[in-house]
Amino acid sequence: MNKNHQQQFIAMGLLALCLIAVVLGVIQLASKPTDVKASGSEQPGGKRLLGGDSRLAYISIEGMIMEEATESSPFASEPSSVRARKLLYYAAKDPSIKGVLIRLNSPGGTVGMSQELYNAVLAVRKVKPVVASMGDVAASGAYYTAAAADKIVANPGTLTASIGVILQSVNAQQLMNDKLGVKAITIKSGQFKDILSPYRQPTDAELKLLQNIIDTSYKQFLAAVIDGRTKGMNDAEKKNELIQRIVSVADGRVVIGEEAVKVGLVDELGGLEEAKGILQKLAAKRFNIARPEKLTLQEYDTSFTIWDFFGMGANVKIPALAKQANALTSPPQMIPASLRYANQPLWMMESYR
Amino acid sequence: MSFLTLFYNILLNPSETMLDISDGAASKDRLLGYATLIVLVVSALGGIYSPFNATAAGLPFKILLAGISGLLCWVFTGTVIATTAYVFGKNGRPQTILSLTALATMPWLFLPVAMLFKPLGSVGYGVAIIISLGLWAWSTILFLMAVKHTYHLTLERVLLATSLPILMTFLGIAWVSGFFINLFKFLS
Repeated sequence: MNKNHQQQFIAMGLLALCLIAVVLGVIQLASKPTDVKASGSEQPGGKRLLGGDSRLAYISIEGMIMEEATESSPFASEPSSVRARKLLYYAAKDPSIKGVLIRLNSPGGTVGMSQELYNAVLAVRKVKPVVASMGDVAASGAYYTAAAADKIVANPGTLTASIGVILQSVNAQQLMNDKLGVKAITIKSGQFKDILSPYRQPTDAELKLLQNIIDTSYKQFLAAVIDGRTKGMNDAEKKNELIQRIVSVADGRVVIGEEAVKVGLVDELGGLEEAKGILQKLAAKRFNIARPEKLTLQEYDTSFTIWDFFGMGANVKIPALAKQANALTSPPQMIPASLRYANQPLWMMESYR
Repeated sequence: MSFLTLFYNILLNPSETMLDISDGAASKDRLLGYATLIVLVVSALGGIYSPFNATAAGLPFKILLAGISGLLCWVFTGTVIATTAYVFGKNGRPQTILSLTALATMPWLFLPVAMLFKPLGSVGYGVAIIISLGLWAWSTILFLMAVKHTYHLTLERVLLATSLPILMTFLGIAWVSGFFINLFKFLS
């Protein structure tokens, strides 16, 4: 190898080293979380490539709680509740996370997904403190999720509770048969196979069956809420009193934050800053941390889309905000949410948007 | 001279290589092209590792912006040096000073390597700072060499020549502020 070739070989090696370092740097930057402040401003996060400092994770659940068919890809974020479920389990195992703050802004959603989120919160609660902070709405399935947390903090005007189950369907028999002359032909293997068919009146047996499902689901809901709210309470009298108060409002009604504290559905009134303070104290106590104020609250989100890379990810990452923006430009939908997700029980506050 | 040979020689044998370029002993084919490429890459790295980058959001635009501003800054620096030299009767080709000042930024190509240490706790952070300062010193020395060899100056004159624009800036600020101070005196 002559001198010139040798020089070129060394130069190529040095350039390759720089190139690899650039690629690693960009990957590291892409996986960087951001600090979350009550004001909503964001600052550089402190996640470390190898391990990291003690911190509190901020996980948000927005919009309808449900599992859609969309998968996370470089072009789209997965639904908020699906992402939250995954992140809760990550946070439970992440040694640098000393506590989790769940920020809820949701009217609820499907039963199964709400239960999965509840279980995910319980899994975190076993190993580190969890505080639920409610935004504008944290009703039904969203309240159910919050009930698994150590503490619930809500704004005085937050709409919450809505403890109950709803299932709706449409009976279009007259329209189809009498007006349009359309008759359905149904061949079924059992009497309940076409339950809630819009082409006919439901039978008594069907209504009884559905009511049984709704009642069972409601019992599950109420039991989980009571279990979550009374966990760790030793005073039997106080415990019973709390259960009575919860049951008294567990009729599907929406409760405002201020009232929810009195009833015992919520522990304290406050916003994100207050919730953060409570979580810092709980985490400091649990992990013997001398200075709780040093625990920073950071957005715990590892998903990163191609849109984020080009600085256009806000609408994709915050579906609730995107929907609100669309609402300004499109006519209101006069179909209740429960009918848009017809024929399935929902733990959801009814809405027409 | 190929890019790889140029890269090697500027980093490890800078004085001789710059003198060869300045005297015309080394081939100047594609030299300005290489120089532009280096300025673009170094500026882009500055965009990637900007302290204002909290996340990778909008990174391509930041890189593009850093590349354009880097090019403008490079041409401006070269023009200031060439003008100062012309004022003092030193003749050197503008292409040579542009090429050599661009090559002087080459050590900054190692900035990503230094930044790899940054997330590794306080020791890694310290190492990253030391390497970055080393790159700054290395690049500054190469810059002084570039001026020295383009205009065939002694080291003392190079130091004076490169500090002149800074001193002139202070003079310029004093001159402009003097204008406004006098204006207010008349108006009040």
